[in-house]
Amino acid sequence: MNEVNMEYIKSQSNTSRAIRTEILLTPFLVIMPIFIGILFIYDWYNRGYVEGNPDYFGTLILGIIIIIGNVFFDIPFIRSLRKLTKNQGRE
Amino acid sequence: MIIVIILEILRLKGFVSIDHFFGLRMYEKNRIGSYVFFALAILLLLSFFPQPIVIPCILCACLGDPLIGEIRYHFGIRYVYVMGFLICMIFFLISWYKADPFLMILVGIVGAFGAIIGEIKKIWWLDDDFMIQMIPAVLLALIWLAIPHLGFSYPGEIIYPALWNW
Repeated sequence: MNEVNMEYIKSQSNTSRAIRTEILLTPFLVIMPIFIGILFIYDWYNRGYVEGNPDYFGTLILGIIIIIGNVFFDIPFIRSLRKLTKNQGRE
Repeated sequence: MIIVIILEILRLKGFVSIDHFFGLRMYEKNRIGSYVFFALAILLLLSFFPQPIVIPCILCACLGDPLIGEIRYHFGIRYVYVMGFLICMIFFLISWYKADPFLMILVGIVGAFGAIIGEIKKIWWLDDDFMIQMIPAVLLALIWLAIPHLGFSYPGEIIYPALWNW
């Protein structure tokens, strides 16, 4: 697949609507996975750590992976959205 | 899923303008969108495969795929194979940590190999979001079927049904 095929389909109305929708969904996109990750860790703490049950170790690891993975992608995502809205404000 | 498929058919038939869809790439203009393949693969995984197979395959698609994309962008294609393989292997090893060590390593290698093949092999009509989930899932399903014949026991679940007491 060549470079042109990998480019996103763009039109003026499409792009501005896409950005608006992304801004609208940002709190959900950022908070939801982190919330799920915290729930996993909470589950490990309650049923694994407190009760001394090692079966829940996988839940802890999954929770950590979900949180780290999402934070890794959330930071550049929010940074680029902020940059974009700042640029639009200037125009 | 039915709504997604109907929407996609309407888009491809031209009844819904492409302006209402964003995030589509040029090659998806006249082809089923990758989000449909992603949803379909997750639906198939959750419906027909056991939990130790489903979890690493979804992790490969949700975290492995974008990480591989970033590696490709920042470091070039040469590093994609090795780094992608290691990232996917970690997901499989973690998900099978309750299994016998030999089985865990076998699953890690086979699963990561399947995921990398699914990610790297580009087919126009079949998206890599589908392949990265289904190729390792099918390969691991074969191992899953062979587990009792190999003399191993099935690994336990990683996520247990929640008992939220709040």
